[in-house]
Amino acid sequence: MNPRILPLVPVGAALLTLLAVSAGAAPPPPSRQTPSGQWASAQVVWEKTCARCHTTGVGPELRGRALPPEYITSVVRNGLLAMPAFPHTAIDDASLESVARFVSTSKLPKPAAKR
Amino acid sequence: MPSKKQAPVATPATPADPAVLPAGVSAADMHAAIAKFVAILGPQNVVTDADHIAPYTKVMIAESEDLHRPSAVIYAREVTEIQQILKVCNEYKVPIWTISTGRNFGYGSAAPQSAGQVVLDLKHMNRILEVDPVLCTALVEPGVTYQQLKDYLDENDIPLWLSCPAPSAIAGPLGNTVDRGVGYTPYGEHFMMQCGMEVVLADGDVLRTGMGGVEGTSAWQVFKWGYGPYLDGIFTQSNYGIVTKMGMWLMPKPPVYKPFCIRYDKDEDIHDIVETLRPLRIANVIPNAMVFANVMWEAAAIMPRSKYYDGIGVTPDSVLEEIKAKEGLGAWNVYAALYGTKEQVEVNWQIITGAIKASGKGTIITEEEAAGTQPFDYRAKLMRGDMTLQEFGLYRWRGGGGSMWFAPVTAAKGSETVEQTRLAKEILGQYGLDYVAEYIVGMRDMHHVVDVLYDRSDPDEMARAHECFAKLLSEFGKRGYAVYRVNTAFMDQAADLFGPVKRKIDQTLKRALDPNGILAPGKSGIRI
Ligand SMILES: Cc1cc2nc3c(=O)[nH]c(=O)nc-3n(C[C@H](O)[C@H](O)[C@H](O)COP(=O)(O)OP(=O)(O)OC[C@H]3O[C@@H](n4cnc5c(N)ncnc54)[C@H](O)[C@@H]3O)c2cc1C
Repeated sequence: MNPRILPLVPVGAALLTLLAVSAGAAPPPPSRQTPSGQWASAQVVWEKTCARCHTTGVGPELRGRALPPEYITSVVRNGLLAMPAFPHTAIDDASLESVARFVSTSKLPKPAAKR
Repeated sequence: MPSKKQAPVATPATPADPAVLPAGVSAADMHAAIAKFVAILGPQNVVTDADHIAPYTKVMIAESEDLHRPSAVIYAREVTEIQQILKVCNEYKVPIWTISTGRNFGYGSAAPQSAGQVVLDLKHMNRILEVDPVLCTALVEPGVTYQQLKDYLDENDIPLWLSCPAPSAIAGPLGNTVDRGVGYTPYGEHFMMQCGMEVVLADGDVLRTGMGGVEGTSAWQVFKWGYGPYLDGIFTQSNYGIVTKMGMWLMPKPPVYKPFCIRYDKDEDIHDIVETLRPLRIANVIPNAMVFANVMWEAAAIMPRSKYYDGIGVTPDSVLEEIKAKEGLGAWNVYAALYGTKEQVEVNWQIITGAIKASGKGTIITEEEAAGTQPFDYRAKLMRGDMTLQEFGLYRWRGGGGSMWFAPVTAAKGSETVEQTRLAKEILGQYGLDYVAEYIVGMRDMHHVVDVLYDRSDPDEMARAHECFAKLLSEFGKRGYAVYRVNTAFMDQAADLFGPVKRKIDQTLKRALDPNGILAPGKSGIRI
């Protein structure tokens, strides 16, 4: 059979009941303007930004190298080769200093035991 | 109890005069404009010092950062501030380059098209104004990131999915959409899923597009066209206004999500891939913006090329054959997904596997078979609008941090992909550069995205990459092919490909809407 003329299964009652939100539900409140560049903690900025490249093999491993915090802050602000630069609106000085200390004093986690 | 003495809060100094000036603006006028910006925004929101400016000068394109160095960066938080800033810009003819989240990597990053423009960074305007879980819409400000929106949906338990570009974790929906960026879900053509804007015009007027001008409307985020001429398009890839709010449609989280890969062994298979899958895409059997990624794009996601090749210039075909065999990669690798109820997904899965079988080529890999390995894992994330930066792996392929996206539009026909692939590979080869490419499949078009990767720390290679890019544009242009978007170094050359009448109309609109030419001069080749 020609796949092009196969009818699509109609979006029926099954899908509708699976969609959790009904028209009666109260919409969530709008988010406040949050101070851009301020992060809840060094751990959060590490996980949500740095770790996405620096623990996945995309960028170099930074943990356990006792990298000087000033070096880290300088690379973050200026970028380096493929590493993008992060302006103050993405991470403010206080958050940057705290994540730089966090990385500088971090230990390289032991590789997971082979199963 | 004696109260603790508060440390005195340092008052930021008035910013120094900028190191560079915009074309045609005197130092005295710039000084006066900066003083007025400070009066509007406060000194902490007007910066000219090297430390604050540096992040806005980091570019990946093959031109000196000096050609794109801003004079100052200013941060606004309110529409009323933007209106006042524009008054000053008009008075002193000071140009401003607006960014929202400023992650336009490979297209110019956060730097302006020409030196001296003031960057207006709207990252502080980051309110998620509304998410309607019933109509599946959102209204956001420019500074909202995809990560922020994802966190908001998760925290409020709203079962809606985003569609994001590959650097999802740090980019944002407004900036991406107004530059007509793309993602990988069924909502991957982002501008198609945009609905309603608020725009501050150069004269300070605030326009709401679509239904937005109707007092008391409940339809701003649900009906795109409004009444009369449809205007949203002229505020994308343009410099006619500053977008301060944007509505968008979000996709309901499907009960079942089934990402998959189809691996093809030979370069020439691109023809049959297109012919086999186009009908399924047009019929919405494959509903998402699937991709066809070539071997080097895939390989870059898992390793540097030095693992197999330490030489210079183009990666030899023999090396690519070895990589394919040893790393289990295809010459072309299709990533697509199914979304829906169990029954819908099953029916469409049967159609797809049947079509692949009938075509006589292609090996299907399911999520279970890929078992959490890269690049499948990050592709699966992108096709459900999740957060990742894994595609930055592209930059370790050759190293050196240089990247420019050459992204010609292709009609979704096998013959055309064969021709474009051959041509791109040939031209890149003349300059010693690799063909690292993917096709992102639209409704009937494809974005043929080639990452022109080069070593930005090597002036010679940078000059070659620049020349190569110009030649790609001109040689493709001669054959009737043009790009969907381009970096700030090549905006005029790309605009020329669309003909003199288009350029004239672009300019007519510019003169009408921004007679002093203060908004992002040079964007898409448009000036007064
Ligand atoms: C590895 C990698 C993969 C990528 N993959 C993709 C991809 O899959 N899809 C894709 O689309 N891109 C991709 N990109 C390119 C780019 O990073 C994204 O498009 C990104 O979303 C753009 O940055 P942004 O969202 O921060 O927008 P911004 O940088 O804020 O804005 C982009 C441009 O839009 C204009 N603009 C911004 N805000 C406004 C405003 N308020 N009013 C008027 N004009 C405005 C400006 O000209 C600005 O330069 C990729 C880049 C890299 C490095």
